[in-house]
Amino acid sequence: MVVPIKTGTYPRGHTAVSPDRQPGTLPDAIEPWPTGEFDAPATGGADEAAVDAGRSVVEALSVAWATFTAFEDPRGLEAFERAIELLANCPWYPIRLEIAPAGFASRGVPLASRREAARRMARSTFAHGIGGIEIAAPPSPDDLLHLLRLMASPPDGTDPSPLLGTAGVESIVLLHRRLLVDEAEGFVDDDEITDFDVLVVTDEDEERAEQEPETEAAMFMTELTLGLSMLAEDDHEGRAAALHTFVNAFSGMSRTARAAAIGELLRSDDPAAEIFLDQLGSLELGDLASRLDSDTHPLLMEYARLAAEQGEQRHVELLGLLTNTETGGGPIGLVIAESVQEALRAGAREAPAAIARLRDLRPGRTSDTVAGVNVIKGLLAVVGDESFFAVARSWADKVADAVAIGDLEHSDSLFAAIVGIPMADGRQAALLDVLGAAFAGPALDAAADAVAWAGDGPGRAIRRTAPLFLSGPLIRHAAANPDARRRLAPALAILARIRPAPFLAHLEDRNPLVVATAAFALGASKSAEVVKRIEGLLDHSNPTVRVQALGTLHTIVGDAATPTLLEALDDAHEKVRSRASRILASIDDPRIDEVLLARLDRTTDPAEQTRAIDVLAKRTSPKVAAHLTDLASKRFAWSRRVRHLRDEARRVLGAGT
Amino acid sequence: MNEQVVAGFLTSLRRVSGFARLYGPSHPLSLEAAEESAVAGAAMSVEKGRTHLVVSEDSLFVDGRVLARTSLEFNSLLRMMNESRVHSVAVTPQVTADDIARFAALIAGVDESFDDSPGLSITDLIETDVARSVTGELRRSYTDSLDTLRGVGSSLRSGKRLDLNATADTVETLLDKAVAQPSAALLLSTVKSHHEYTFYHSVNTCILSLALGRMVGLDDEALLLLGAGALLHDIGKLGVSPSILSHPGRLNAKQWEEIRRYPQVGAEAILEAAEPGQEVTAAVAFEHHARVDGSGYPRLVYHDHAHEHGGRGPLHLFSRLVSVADTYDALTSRRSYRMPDPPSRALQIILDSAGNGYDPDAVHAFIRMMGVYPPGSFLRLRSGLIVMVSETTGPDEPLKGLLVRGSTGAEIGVPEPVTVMREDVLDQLAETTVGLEPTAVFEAFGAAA
Repeated sequence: MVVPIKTGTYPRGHTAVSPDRQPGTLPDAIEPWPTGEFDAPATGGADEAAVDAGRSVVEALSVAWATFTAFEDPRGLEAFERAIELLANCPWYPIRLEIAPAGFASRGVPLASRREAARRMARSTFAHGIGGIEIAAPPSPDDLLHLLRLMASPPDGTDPSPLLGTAGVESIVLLHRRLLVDEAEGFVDDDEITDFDVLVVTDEDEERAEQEPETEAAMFMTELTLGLSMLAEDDHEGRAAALHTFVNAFSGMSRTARAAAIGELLRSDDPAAEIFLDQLGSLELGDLASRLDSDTHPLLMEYARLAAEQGEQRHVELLGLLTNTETGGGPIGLVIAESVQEALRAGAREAPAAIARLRDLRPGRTSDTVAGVNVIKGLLAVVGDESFFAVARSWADKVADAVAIGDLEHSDSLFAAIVGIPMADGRQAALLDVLGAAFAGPALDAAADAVAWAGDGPGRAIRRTAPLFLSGPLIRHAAANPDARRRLAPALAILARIRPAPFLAHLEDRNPLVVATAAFALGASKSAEVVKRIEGLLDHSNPTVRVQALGTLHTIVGDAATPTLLEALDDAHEKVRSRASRILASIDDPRIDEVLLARLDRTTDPAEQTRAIDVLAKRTSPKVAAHLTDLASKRFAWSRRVRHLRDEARRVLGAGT
Repeated sequence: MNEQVVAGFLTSLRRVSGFARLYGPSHPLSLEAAEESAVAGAAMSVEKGRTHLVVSEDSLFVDGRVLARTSLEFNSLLRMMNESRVHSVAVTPQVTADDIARFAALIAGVDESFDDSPGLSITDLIETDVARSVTGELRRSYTDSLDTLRGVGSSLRSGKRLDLNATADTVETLLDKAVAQPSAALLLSTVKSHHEYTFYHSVNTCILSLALGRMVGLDDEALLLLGAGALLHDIGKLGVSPSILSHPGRLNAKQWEEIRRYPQVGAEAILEAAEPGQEVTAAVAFEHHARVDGSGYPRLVYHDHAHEHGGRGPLHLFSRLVSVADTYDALTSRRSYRMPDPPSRALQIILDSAGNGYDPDAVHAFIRMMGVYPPGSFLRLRSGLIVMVSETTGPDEPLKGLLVRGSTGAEIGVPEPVTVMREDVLDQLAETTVGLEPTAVFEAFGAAA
């Protein structure tokens, strides 16, 4: 049995305006109440004129409403003035409009408007329980503004009808629906009592509906569309509750009526129809599919197709719908049910082995740590910019907390979480900034010291100490202690590659060991700025720095450092010249041979001769080998210089040459 | 007393109080809802001429009998009544819409006083109205879990840090009670609420996950982590716009995009509050929709090395268990966008997706735990008797249940324990068909024991 939503019953007629009537009270005369559907045509004659006038009023009110929604006080604005003018130009007064959630009407004739504002205004007015508006005289701008403010205010359960009068507005009258309902005069309790915005279902109607499924389905559709349209847009609970009511009502209908209703729903363009169809499970639709007529069945399949395209979550349901559509209910349904039961039993039999395998997935704390790290990784990869900082801060705090309590294994894992995640440079820099901020403070020094002497191999040292390198203390620690520097060297290199900025800053340090350590770490960076800064260190006053700068430069630019290395062969300090020599020895460039041979011929300094020969001895070109051989084979060396060259050549080529 | 009839009255009463708060007590919508509620109240009371509803703490008693599931489903309404100091109310067939409207205004906090009428009167609470409930402690821990979630939700909305320790305490209590009454716990997990869907769903998922975790042999510490993860797995939804969550029709692409963000929203909030070792709780929130084949959401950047994990993918064990429990409760719940599936259909849907959507071992273990006929299922036997399944048994073992109706359809006063061979089962019946509520049957059996 359909459960109707009764919004109220109305008398057969409503009353006309009396000049002596007070706002909010009932007029004296009775006029015919609107009948028929909302899209019924105009009746012609005087009614037609009234409808035309009504349209003008709706147009004016829509313009005023639209202006009001944009401007708190639209008086004086051109559009608002136009609305006032339209209202002033009405052919007669009073002009009455009836109000429904879907819009305005005049004498039962819907006044369709192209303006969305008209519908919104009607809906807001209806929500206040207002059944009609009457323009008794050309309203002033103040009068109209009072009306708009009243209609835009949220309903509070009070009757707004007297409020206009209280505000001194006489040109506009509001007619409350309840007042019209309470009017005993004119009330006729028979089947002809209908209203375009309410469905009154009498006992006879219900009895007839049970025998005529199409009628029941049509009534259901009417109630569904009206019922959902009556609720506020943001009344989620109300809409959901209304849907449940309709679902229950639907379930209570006969199968034939339900099938007819589904046909109506599939044919309807009203959004309420689609919303309702989505409530029905595939079993329901499939069960009724066999009862649909040949015209409706394709609509159902189209619905299923569209729903499948909308989202994957409906895929399984729609499979069921299609299956049920093909097989229908009855005996086949029982077969399907038994098949489902057997599949479930088979699944349950797999349980013992499944449980044993699941137990193996629970090795303990390690998997939990990995899971936590994975979440951080996953979040950093998918979150938007705003959330990124929040996640980064969470991560940094956890790293700092873990280090503070000495849980280096955990801090290990947390830091490793970000390694390898592809992210924009800006994000990576931001991440390290956050991490650096988390580690600020004197406690870091003690932690840095403990970490540097952790006693583990370089691999673990890298991971454990990496988070700390973003601040200066550990670089200083490495600079001051050769053993620590050796241990921490690989980690330094990794960090400098990720973010060279702190290391570049240390290139200006007063302590040459710090400078050298930073220069060493920067060997892992390939940036042009680093190259430029390292080249600047070649003039440093401290030879240790110059030595490291050479090594770093060669690491970064490779053989392109050859000219610089060759120049370094003339450095004032022997350590620097020695380093340059060693590096040059490893570079496979015949031009080096030419330069070194030329130097050998030119120099008179025995030490430089020795160095040059030592380097040349490591070269592999035939020309160098021939030259050294030639030197070594000189039997008569009159000058000290030549003798020294011969002796050194013989030394590097082996005694006895 | 038909619990469904009482639930119908309370549903309508809740609707009236909601409209009273939203639109005002004299708004046409409020008055319409009051009309319907008056009809429901009259129908509820017509059999005995008077229905006495008693609210004691978080339990609802009707004519001296506790309605366990209704107490949970309408927990928030009962709480409103408690806060309005309404502990006992009598409803007669003479109840009018005006009575209901005024009463709803009272409990909604719109009005402060209420005048009794022949149709509805507020009476004094009498001790004997409140009977012992076998599921009382379990339900209390259920409502405590709801309170915890409400607190978590409030923290999330106001930007405060979550209290995971409080969550763990709640889970520990729930676990203790569920272990003591495992079948009752599974029955209670069938409680649904549209009003606060996310919270009730989260508690149900927690109960199911804990039961599944015990089945796979997790120790207590692991169960606490699992339970906390299950309880908070959907907490990110509180950051999604309510209009999208309650959207009754299909979602458009933009709405789907926002919905899909909620796992990471929840994971972020949990991660921020997690102490070392608790991060796995965030993993459940993050991964429970990811699917074992990595095709879910969010896309897991660490999912590309499935072969390193023996083909299983890197989802944590807890995520695998919770995703099955989560889906089962969701499928068997009525939502604004879908009707509920019966338990066997829900299990079938999950089984169909084993291997790509869900871990197949977790699915098989879950089916074993719930049984082909889960506890609370009503079965009609070939003899015409109607039995309610009271506990799970093996797939090829006889069923254990409680006889609730004789072959003539007459209700058995005190349910009798029976053993049923599977081949004697004719079909499975819906609760509405049988007219009984599983927890009520359980209470009746337990009270007589």
